[in-house]
Amino acid sequence: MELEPERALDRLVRELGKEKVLTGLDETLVYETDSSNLMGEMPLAIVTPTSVEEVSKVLKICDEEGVPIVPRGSGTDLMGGAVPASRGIILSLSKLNRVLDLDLEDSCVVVESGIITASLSEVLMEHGFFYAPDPSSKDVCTIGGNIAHNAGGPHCLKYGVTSNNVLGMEVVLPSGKVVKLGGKALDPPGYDLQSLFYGSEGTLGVVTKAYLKLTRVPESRRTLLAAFKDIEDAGRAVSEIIGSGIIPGALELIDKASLDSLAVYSPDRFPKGMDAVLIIEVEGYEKVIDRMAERVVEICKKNNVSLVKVAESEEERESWWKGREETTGALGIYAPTFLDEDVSVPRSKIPETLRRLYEIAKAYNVIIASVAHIGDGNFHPAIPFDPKDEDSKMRAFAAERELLKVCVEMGGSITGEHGVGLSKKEFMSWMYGERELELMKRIKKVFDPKGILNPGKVFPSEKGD
Amino acid sequence: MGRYTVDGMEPKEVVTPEDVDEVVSVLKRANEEGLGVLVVGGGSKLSMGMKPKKYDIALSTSRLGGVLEFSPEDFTVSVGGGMKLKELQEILGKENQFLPIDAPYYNDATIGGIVAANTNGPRRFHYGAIRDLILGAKFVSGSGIPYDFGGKVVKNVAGYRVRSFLTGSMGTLAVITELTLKTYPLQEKEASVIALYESADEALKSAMELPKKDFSYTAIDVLGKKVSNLMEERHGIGANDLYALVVRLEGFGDLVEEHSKAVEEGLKGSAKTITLNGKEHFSLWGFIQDVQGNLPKGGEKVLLRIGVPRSSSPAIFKKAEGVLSEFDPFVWLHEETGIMYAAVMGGDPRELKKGIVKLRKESEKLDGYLVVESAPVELKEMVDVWGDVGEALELMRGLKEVFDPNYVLSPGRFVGGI
Repeated sequence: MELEPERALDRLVRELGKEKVLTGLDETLVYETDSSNLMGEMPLAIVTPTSVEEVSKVLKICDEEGVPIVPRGSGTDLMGGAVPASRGIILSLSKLNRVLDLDLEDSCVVVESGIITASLSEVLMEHGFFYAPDPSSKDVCTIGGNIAHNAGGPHCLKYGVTSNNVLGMEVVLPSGKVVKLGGKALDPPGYDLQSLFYGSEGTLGVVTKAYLKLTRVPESRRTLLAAFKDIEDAGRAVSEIIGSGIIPGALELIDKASLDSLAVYSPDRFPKGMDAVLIIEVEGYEKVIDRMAERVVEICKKNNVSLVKVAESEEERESWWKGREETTGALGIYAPTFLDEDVSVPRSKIPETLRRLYEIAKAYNVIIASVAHIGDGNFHPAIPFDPKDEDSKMRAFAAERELLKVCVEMGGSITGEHGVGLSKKEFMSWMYGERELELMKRIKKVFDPKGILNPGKVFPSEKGD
Repeated sequence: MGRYTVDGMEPKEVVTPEDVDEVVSVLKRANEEGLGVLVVGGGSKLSMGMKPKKYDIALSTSRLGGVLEFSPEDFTVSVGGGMKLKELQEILGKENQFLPIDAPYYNDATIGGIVAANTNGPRRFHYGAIRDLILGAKFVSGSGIPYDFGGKVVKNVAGYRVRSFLTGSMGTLAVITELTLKTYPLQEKEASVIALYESADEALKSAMELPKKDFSYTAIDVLGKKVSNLMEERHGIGANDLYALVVRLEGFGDLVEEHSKAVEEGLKGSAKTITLNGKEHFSLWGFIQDVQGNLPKGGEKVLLRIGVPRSSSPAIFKKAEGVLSEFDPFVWLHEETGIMYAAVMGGDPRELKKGIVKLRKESEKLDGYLVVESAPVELKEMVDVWGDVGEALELMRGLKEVFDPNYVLSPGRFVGGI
């Protein structure tokens, strides 16, 4: 179909009003990119509906006029998922940000999809509940974006990723049809359409409403630091902790390369000369919390830990978490910027994978420094490079490619929680055969027959693209 | 009635493929010859769905079972679609792990069948549903194409979650040949507290009040009088025509002990409370997860599953008892999940239809649904067993046509005549 941008814009203005269809250069410029910093096409307009009815109108008009739509929450996508790959509109959900129904009896809160994830905490904490997924961008990102990426975070080992914490959703299709999937009543009959929306990166429909599952705030918490001279020991300790029936609220590993840069950046944070440091947070009932912590200590000792201790104060706990957060900043000692990776391997393969990554780093003369949500096998290797130095850049990208290959070989995934977007679509064929990719494309077609929703994402480019 | 009888129909042939290639060839042939194929696992849920439009081949997954890979340190297990839940739990148990799915028909149910029917159990709210445990899946679509969405990691957002999309598809999209699932560690101790009540109101009220306190329970069930009597018959617990509220606790040994004491204390208003540990506790929950399989044999059984928001579960429980009172129903509720079952052992189909329609309306008013999981053919011809799935039907039909364009798999059995 021929693109009719002028007519589409006229119709959008007529239906929504001028103030909701922004076309000025100063308004559209920032929407060329997202947190990936990849540059896309300049959008025709930024459309900011304030109701589901308006979202429906926007989709219908764009579908009829053949205008591509990039749905957008806060644009924290690291893979270019919110970058317009072709000229079209940005559908901003940021004004659909209300809490619609706080239903404590059903342990559920119904929200509009543009609500900021962390802002829910304020509403829920006073009732003794929280919404569990906590991606690191939680202060900025939206629930709709979390669904589109099936976001995780440190807490998802114990509480699951987004899909485990959403009971239902309302979605709008390109036809303008509003469809409710799931809800407070569990396991309704019919195909599990919800499953398809988690991680669909805005390519199937626009989520306008979500029914979120609430979790009770645990009574008590203990945070432990465990430093190992051999990462294999750390890996074994992790498996034994979970095997003992304790599923920690968070379980993070900082690898040797990260520790080395931290040793320069903030020298007093962690013990020196270690292969791996674990931050382990156990949560539960006050009565047994110390015993849980003791059990973790015992398991670490059994596995040759060099140092293990329970945080004695909130300051100490915060200092450890700060160290975890500083790992990326610390890479600044090597180069001005870095590639931020997101991969998954079976948990027991993490030590072996990291060893392989160090070999890659050596071969390409780069640093690969990782922090891992080791409990669930998802980790984030970072490769520092100098964007002004073409050679440094090339080596970083080449190393990244090898790294992804290794993770797939280990039975893992090219992305655990950041998504495919633009950056990783060419690697999709490492994970799936032609048949599987074809099936996914046909699934997309059922939802979006004309292909107006976030085109150019997720699937590898075809000839002629 | 034979092992493969479905709604009074017998298949012309039974095939038991041993591998993916054989599944492919059966389905290719079915497409070429326009045959209808029903996938049969343990045969425990063949009553679910409308009467098939065609039933030429029963495709048994009995030779597609077995553990293919168990990685205890990763808490993952890969099994063939025909693997029985019971056998899997025994294997996982040796490593002190389990699959947190308390599906009914425990002795027969296969993992592929549990995924296809999305049958969860009393601990569904606590541990999640079967879809949440699926890390990877391999299957052959109705059109006879084998697909490999076999992941082994918990976090994987590369592409659509086709791996869990087959959940609840009732064998109308594909034959599931392999699944990789997330397992959990067994807890140090488990216990049950049972409280008996004269009235449904008291039992339901106590159940609703429990969760406000902070106990380490993983399931709360309310059993109607007849189910409670059945429990007495099988386990010597319950009975005297009383309602039973049963609470399951899991965790550290002394914590469970302390909490079970506190729960018992909190339920003092009941006629009687009992705490169970060890073997008795496990066999009790074996009964509760499979009340449907424990119902008296024979008769033209009608089994209903009703889902509502949890806070509405007392209301629908009482409605179900009221509307079906002339049929003397068995009723039980997995309270935390808001899912209840009602079973009657027979009755005038026209009267039953009226009851079902009325109860469905009541459930829908509460934002819920009603599914007829088992009924004589005569009744199935009078009432849509699935109910209306609303605006989503068009998408569902479109997806059916992607997987199974010739409507070879379970034709006519699913929602909207899919």
